[in-house]
Amino acid sequence: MSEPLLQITDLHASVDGKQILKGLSLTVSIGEVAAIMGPNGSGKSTLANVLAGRPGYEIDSGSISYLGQDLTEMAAEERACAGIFLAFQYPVEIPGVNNTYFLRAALNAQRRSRGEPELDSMAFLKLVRARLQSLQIKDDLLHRAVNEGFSGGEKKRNEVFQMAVLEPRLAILDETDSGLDIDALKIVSDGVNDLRNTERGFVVVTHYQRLLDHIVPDTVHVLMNGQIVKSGERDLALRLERDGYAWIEEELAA
Amino acid sequence: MSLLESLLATAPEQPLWQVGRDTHRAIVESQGLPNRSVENWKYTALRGLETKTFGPRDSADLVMQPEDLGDALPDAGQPLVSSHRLVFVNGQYAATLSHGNGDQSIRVSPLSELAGTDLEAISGALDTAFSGPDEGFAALNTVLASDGAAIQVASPTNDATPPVIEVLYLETGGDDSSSLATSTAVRNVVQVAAGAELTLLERHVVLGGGDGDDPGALINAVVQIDLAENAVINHLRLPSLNPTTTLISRADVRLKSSARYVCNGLDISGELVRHDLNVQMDGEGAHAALAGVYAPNGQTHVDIHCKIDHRLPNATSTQDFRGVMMDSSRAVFNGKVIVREGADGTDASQSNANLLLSDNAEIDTKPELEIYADDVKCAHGTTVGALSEDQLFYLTARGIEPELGRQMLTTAFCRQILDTIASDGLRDHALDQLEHHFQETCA
Repeated sequence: MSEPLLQITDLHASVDGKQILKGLSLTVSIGEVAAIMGPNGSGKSTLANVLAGRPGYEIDSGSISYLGQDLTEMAAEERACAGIFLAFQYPVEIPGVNNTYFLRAALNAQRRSRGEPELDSMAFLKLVRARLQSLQIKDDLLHRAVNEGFSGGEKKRNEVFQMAVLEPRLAILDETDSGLDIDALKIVSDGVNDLRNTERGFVVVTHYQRLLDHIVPDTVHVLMNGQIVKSGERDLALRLERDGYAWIEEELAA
Repeated sequence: MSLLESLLATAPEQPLWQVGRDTHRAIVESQGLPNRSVENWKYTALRGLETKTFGPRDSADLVMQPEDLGDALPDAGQPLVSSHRLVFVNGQYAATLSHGNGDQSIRVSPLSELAGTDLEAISGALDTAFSGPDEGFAALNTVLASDGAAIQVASPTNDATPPVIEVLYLETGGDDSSSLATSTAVRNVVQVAAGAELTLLERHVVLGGGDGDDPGALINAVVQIDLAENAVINHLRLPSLNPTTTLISRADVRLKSSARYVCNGLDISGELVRHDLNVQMDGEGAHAALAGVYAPNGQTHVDIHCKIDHRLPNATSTQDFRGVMMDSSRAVFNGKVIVREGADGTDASQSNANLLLSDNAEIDTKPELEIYADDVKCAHGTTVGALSEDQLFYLTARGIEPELGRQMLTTAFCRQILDTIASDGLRDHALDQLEHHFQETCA
């Protein structure tokens, strides 16, 4: 079997001195879409932020291996350049920074790190317009400041748009469905599905199974109290939707 | 010899006009220059100036040809979208570097040209009394001024875009063979008739120098602007100084009813920069929008004092200033609003936001409201902070190096002020200066 895309082993992590992840283990193969579900406060967003290297999220013990590299020693920008992408739950507004300028700076930083030539603004615009069309995003997004004054749906679409331009190897979607109406959910999911291929992996963190109607996962993992307590296939998500999490707690207690 | 004595010694021997000079020499000799016991100069000391010895310039002052100008200062070689340009070198009018566009409704002349013929229309401005304890430099300006721009817009032009007048003051820097610092004093008078509109670009540019041997320079500039009913002026200040130059600049603006004064500026260089922006609302429904960015680094000290005096009803004013302090720099922002008795319906807002990017940098910011009317809206807000960690993480999570990310965020913070400059060409020029500055300093 080939090397996994992501292998997390017995990970303990804390925020502000409070331990949130308490021995989490998870393996995601190349080409796999892994859904992480769990009740509020179980540590889902912490996992997403720890993987992206957000300052303030401390790893106390355990390991994270990404394509054989030790992620824990890498800065956020190094992880991004290595192909990791976090679609934020709450994308921050950055007034004064133009969306196109930002995204070109990001893409060119990644290209530099791979020893590839930078894209000039013409080549970049061509690439970007093609991606915009498939996500049904209006051109004016290119002229606006990063996320400034965007609706919830526009922010999430902008995340998927950035993902489509940056083409990561591992995409982490942190509650990408939150705040989306059905139409926006469909557009965002279609955007993600367009990016699915045998070379790319996804970690889809979600509270609701309805996202998984659109982005159909290969595996489903239940995160409770800082650990993956149960793994299965798609039917596990459907059961969680129907029965909630109480039965798993009972199973664990037994 | 005191600083004042050494500066007075640089007075023109045969001034082209006499108006106000003798009275102000008497005033400044008795008052002296402001020191830190004067409230408006509390945070700005003249220590740097006091270590310098000023003397008269060598009479063989450099004569510049248009091609020299292009070589010395690439971006000044080409005028910035200006229909009129007045250039002064070391305080002397340089006719060969200046040009107009033949528009009869606008009169743009150096004071030196008016002095022999008709100074009458502006002699009131030249004779304005500057007798307060905080007005020493303006009084000194009256004594020392060698030249300056007189701009009179007699009637609205028919052009779709208002005329742009660039007043460019070039300083050739300290004389290496001399240990004497140089002093330049210039006086500008701008009068805009009812309904007329004007964009004024005021630039003080110091060429070269600024190293350890440079004896330094003081530029003392006063501009007096009178706006008649419904007149509009967009005033942009873009100084480009070296680390041994002090710029003391003052703008006195008077607005008649429904006139509009809009100003913006970028201060990123110099040893000491002081701006006094005094706006007097002398008409109902007048509007003043004062804005600017200061981003000192190194040892630079920038001090911006605004004073907006609401004397009549229903006038509005805004102050919107942002600062970024790096290294051991220091900035002072003081925004004063006075609402006189009877000036009901005044709406005055003030905002001052600062990024303090170094432990050794300092900002002193103070709003001051004096309100003597009842029906008034006055708002003010001041912030001092650091860059947002959340924003920085968002950028780095996309692969952007933290250094570049900080540079992007710092530039963005300031550009939101400069983005409001109406003229595309001038806005782009200011933004280029800003970006270049942070590329150099924000690494």
